[in-house]
Amino acid sequence: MMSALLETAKRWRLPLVCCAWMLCLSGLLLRRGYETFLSANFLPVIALAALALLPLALCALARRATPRLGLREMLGTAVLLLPLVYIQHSRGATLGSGAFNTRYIGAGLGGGGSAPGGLTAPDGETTLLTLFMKPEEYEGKSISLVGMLTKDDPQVEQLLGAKQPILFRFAINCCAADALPLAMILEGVDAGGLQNDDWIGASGTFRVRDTGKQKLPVLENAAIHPVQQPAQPYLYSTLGVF
Amino acid sequence: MSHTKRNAKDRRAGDSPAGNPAGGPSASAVFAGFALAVVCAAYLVPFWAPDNRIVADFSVVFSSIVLEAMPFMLLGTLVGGAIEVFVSRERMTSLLPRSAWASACVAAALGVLFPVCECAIVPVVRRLGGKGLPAAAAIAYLLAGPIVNPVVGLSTVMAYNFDWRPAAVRLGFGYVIAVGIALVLTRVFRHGSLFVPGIDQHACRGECESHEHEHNDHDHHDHHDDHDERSHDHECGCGCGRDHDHGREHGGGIAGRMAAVCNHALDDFMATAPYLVAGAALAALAQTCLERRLFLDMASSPALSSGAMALLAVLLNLCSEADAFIASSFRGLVPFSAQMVFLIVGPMFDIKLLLMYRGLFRAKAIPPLAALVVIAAMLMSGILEAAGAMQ
Repeated sequence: MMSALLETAKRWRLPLVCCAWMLCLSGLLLRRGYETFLSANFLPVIALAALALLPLALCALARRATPRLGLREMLGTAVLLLPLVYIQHSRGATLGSGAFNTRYIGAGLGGGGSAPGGLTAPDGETTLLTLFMKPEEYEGKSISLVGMLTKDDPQVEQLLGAKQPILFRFAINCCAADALPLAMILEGVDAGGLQNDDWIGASGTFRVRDTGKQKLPVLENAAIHPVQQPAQPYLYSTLGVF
Repeated sequence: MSHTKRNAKDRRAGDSPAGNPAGGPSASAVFAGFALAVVCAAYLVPFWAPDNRIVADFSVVFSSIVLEAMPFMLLGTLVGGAIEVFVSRERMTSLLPRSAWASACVAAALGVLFPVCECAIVPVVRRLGGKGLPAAAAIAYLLAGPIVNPVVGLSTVMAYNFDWRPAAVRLGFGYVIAVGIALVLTRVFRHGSLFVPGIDQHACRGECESHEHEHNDHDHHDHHDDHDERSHDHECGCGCGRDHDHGREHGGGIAGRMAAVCNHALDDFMATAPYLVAGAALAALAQTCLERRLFLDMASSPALSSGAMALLAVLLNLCSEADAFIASSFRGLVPFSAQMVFLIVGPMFDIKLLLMYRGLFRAKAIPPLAALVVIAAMLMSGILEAAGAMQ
């Protein structure tokens, strides 16, 4: 019984890994699920990878049984299949206030920290990216935008001396690992009925506040309301660079 | 006994679950068993805490890093397989200058013509090394390729609001540092002690004892065609570490060669991808748990900020084509020199690469390599500070 299992594992280990990854990438392509993790620019790369796995799977199937199946081979196989579980688990998920707290370095406008160049917002829509790119154009104007809410960021509390609710959104160039949090302070808002990570729409007057250390974007006399998560939760680069 | 056969035996001994000759399990078997238990536990975490925010963020970041890197690594294995099958050892060695420093200088600039990211370059260098690329050239290409290439130059220019100077500093120092480290490492480590078995030597260059023939005057594939009928099964010296019918695979026309490309790619994929996944898991853990502002607190002086940014680059494991966007977000918070340290160290040495290098270098070569990268980046930081660059 044991030796039969071992022989089966030897025979099917490589085809299993290749086919499992090929199916995973194909599934992500068909439902555009890769956009949970990657920029939309990765479509051809993922497609190419799924395609490249096909001949590898065929080669694995055509091979004779793998001569060795020790702990190292079992470990390698287990490690290679592990991401598939996490990819399945994260489908449709987005980075939230936890990631915001670990990544936010108080990136404001101009002085201390700044949004990188090259990131551009979707046409015609006012987003945190457009505000960060051209703050002077929006100064004193009424604006509306969509983002996630966090109410207890320690960095903002340190800068302003008081807890303020924040609207934030992540901008990504390649993938969620390089997601950069862009944030705006909401003034005059009672966010009591809302939770961290809720998606909100906010409107008010845009100002740039100089704290001495940083220039922070602020939405004065803001009004907020809960909204549905947008189809594209992240703000993406349109550079086409990966 | 030939070098290759000895290496093959070593490899089998290391892989054996039976352990050491004394009867007990070997240290590597114990480690593999422990690691297997950890991986099995990792399978259960998403089911055990499906709604936990930290687990959710870890899942997204881990999946992102793997999905971003895996296609490039996969394509790298195919390129490596094609190099193994279609490029002869003689052709490879004739393409580069004979001296170590000259070949390193040329190889460090190859990224301009063949831009490869750090995930794809490891399997490519595995095959190039096996084909006789000099060690200095292999290391120079490995370290410089992910930095000195047009895509990275363009992304750096864009990240810094179309200022070309950060890109020039990054590419220039990246080139010099890569060449310097390549030359130092090849001086320190004697031939054959730098790379894992099968990479810096070749089974069939006159050392193979399974057959006697003239090796020097013909193409590698001609050699295999010559031996189609004999079809010698032995541990291949091309770095794949697999017993396979070398002669038959590389012969048999274009279809046979394409099959050989895929077979080599499959071997490289299985040899390198587990390290990539393990590195991605550690990087995701660091990204999920470490607060970036802690690194700003550490950055009270230029030297400390450079050290902090080097550490951040090692922990974040960002792609070299995207890391400039993160570095540029630190403008005004850390000196320019520290931002450049971040951009130089990351593509040469981070957690993911540290593990992937296990598929390329011998274990004892990796700490000196990492140390040299950090030291060189700190030197660069000092030079930039002294020159008052971008102040």
